[in-house]
Amino acid sequence: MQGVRGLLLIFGLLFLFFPTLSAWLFNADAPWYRPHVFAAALIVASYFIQREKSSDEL
Amino acid sequence: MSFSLGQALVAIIGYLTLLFGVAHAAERGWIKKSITEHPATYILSLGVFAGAMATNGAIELAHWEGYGALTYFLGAILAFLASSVILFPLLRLCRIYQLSSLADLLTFRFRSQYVGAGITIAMCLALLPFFALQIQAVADSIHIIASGTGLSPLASERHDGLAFLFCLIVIIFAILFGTRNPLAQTRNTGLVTAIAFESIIKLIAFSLAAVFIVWEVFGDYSSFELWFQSNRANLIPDSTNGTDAATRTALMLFFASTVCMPHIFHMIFAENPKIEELRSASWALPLYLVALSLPVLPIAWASVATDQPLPPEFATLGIGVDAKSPSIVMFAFIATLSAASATLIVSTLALSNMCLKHLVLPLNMIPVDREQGIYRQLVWIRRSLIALLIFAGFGSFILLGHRESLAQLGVIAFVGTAQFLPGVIASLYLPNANRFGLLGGLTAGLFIWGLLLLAPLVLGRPVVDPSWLQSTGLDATLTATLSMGVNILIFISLSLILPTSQEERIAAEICSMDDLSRPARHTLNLKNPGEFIRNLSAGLGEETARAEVERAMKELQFEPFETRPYALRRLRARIEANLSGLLGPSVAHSLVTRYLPYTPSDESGGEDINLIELQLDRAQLQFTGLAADLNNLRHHYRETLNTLPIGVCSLANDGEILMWNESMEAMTGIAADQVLGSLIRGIAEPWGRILTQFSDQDTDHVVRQKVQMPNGQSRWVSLHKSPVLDETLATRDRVMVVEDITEYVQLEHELMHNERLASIGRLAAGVAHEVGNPVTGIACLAQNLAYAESRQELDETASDILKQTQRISRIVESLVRFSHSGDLSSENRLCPCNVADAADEAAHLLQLDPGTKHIEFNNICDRDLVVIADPQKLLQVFINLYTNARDAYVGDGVITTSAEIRNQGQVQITVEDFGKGIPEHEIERIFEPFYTTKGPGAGTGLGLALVHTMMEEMEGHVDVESSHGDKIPTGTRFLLTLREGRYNDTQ
Repeated sequence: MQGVRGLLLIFGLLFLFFPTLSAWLFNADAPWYRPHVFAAALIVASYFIQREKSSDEL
Repeated sequence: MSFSLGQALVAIIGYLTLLFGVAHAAERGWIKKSITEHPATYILSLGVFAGAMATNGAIELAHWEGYGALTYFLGAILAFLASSVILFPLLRLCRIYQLSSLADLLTFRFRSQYVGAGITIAMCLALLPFFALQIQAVADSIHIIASGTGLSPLASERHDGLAFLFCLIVIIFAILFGTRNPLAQTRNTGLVTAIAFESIIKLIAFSLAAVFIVWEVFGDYSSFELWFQSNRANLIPDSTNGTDAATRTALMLFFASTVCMPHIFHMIFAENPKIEELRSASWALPLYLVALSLPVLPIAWASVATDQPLPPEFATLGIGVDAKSPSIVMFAFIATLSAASATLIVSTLALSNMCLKHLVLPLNMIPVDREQGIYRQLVWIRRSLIALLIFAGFGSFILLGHRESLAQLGVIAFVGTAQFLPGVIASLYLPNANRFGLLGGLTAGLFIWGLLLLAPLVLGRPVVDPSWLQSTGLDATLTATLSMGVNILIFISLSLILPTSQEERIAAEICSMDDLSRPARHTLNLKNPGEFIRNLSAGLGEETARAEVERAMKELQFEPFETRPYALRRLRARIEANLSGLLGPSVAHSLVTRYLPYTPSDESGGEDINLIELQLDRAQLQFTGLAADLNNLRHHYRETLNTLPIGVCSLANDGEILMWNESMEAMTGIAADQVLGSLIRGIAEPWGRILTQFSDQDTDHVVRQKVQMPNGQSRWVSLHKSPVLDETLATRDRVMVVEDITEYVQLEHELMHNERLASIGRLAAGVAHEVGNPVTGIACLAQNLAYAESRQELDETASDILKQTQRISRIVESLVRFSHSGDLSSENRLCPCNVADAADEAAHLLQLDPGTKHIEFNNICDRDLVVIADPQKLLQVFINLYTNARDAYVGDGVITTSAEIRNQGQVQITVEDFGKGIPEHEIERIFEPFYTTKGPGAGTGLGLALVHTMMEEMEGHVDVESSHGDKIPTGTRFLLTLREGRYNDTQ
């Protein structure tokens, strides 16, 4: 489980705040593509987190 | 606006021909390697995840559930974002052990061919609705664009023939580009490039269709936004209406499908060229999926806005037909065609691979061609299986008769494949999980899935009373949760209750993320790679056996004449891994166990330290926290041992070399890489013989061992060994320390020589006196000759002169013998020596010294007693002992030398005096170099130290007994022990 604690923490937080998050994502005033933008932001964050890791895994 | 059937047919054939062209060009190298091997190609090929479910099923989901449709994409996005939790560990296993499918992985982990067979059958069952989904998407699309009608297609009107043609083309493509190479670990460049091409086409076509639809239906984007805001409440279900639970379940389903679906597994792991590319894919593929998900909602909402008459999964086509827009129809059809064909091709390839390895090969019904090997048979069986599977998919499409929508078919398939997720997670994280748990949980989960989802799909009516089902509150979401819940519960329960086999425990260690595998160090019956080939030929045919052994040797970078046990064990493991890629883990394991067996008498064998070290070194960068600290500590101690200026070599119980540090390399001239994992007796002479002898003998120390190097030089080493005990205090390994004492020995020999010269110097005055006396006598006698009166007187005088010259000759001879340049630093010349003669010679020499005049030498040794010794050294020993004995007397004294035969052929020589004796506190130190009790200038302190050294060199030893002070009588007795000899003995 080395190196995945941060990821599990993020997943745990996402699960905990899922109702609040979904309420914000699908807010009446929000543009229809807000979930897409959120997902893209998540991916970019993940890219920067993973970039710091070493590439030699095997 | 509509297309004719002929045009649709041309579109299908044209598109698939283009696909053939791309694959063929990539295979032939007509497309640059910089493109086919670019990470983007691999990443785009993973877009195979988005089949007709993405281009059609997601629109249907969006139609009913609004944003809920995005869970399909979000599940896969999360799986890739969390790749370090599941995908990377799986990739590590798949690459090392050549696992190319889920069945391979679970068979490897749970060590049972029944697991592989069960997983394969279950996967075939779960994927039939999925195949039907892809075929139905294409078939209905053809029907819609050919009929140009907005009416729902009826079964009787469908163009099943065209669907069949589509299947045939897919079969040909899969066979041509997916089975060229029987070796699963070789990347199918053509296939990967073609699938990546399809992903691009799919994204472009789908996005353009959406743009045209928004433009066609709403006029412009701002009008679409306005329409969306005004209809938002109708489009998006109330989030308080229990949709959170459904969303989470759907997320779990799609997450599981990303890991478990065979086509995705195949593309992620079997076609992965290197690990960095999966790292790039972990963020790039989610971006691709976000881009692919963008058109879903606008198309679904445009469908609502236009109220087009087709089912929502065909909304794109429906809007195009309704609006008479050939662009929309064309883009929609291409998006569906590319998505469905890619998914169908890769799923079939992956599933055929599973069927071959886990259903066909374990039956052991394929005859082996002894000369040609098995590659050819494997390719043909795989081709047949591909055809069979696609026909089965087509059959299920016909059987289902269009009773279910695409999204429903997709969800049923996803719930089925999600049942494998507990097995995958347990493989990585639950070392206690066993095959009973896996099969039990899977059977229960699939039973519920079959009862509540598959059976109603096949039979066309619910198996369980719908009213009862409704009363329990079970819907599709809850069916998924229930089947997964029961699956996990039974899995864990059975794993806890029933025993886990030793093999499974070892595999669990290998699979576990936290543990490195700790392979046992078994002994192989085989001695070289040639024997591997000979043995494997019986099971694989000679050509295949040779190819497999040579491939494994090349991958491990071993020399063809490799014989080290460690290397052969690694070769065996590599062959098993490679065969696993070819024949599946269970068949590979049974083949290797049968034809490359370990020695049966071998017990536990201990752990393969060299392999563990290798794994740790490779995995170093993965460690964090405490593990990293421990690993750093290991490195520190390892380096300390390695750079120690003294040779360290560690041996396993069976004599296998586990460690060989840098000093050993420098001393022996043998590199560690050459000997690690070898047997100690197998290393180059003279070290193999010396270390083996020392390892086998009872004594733990050899103070001085001469080594004759191959270049003719001599070296001296001292050897020490110590057992390494395990927890039960049993000897596990042995560590040997080899110290190069050549310089020390040379220095010592120089000292010996100097001491001898010093002795000669001390004798010089005596010699001069001894020689002077007869010379004076001769001079007198010569003068007398002038006055000789008779012949008789002349003769007597001449005789006296001769006696005096003989006396001089004897003195000179003794001196010459002692100072003979016989180099003490040269090797021992052990030979039979008469003890009494040597003692006499020493006494005679010493008597030349005026200081010895008052000493009487009493030699009572048996005149026939012979010992094995170096004459030069024995003489020096006597001289040193006599000198000390003489110095012990203040006035007159007697030095007695005696000798007697002791047990076991040992002779004990005693040199005894009755001088002042040695105080007790000095006895311990008298053999130390430079230790002396004599006054300044009277002694060097080397005499007894040299006696000790020389006795050891002559394979004997010296002891001392002494009485001093008030004890009567006082005196000292030196006891020399040497081997008894005879005059015909030589050393």
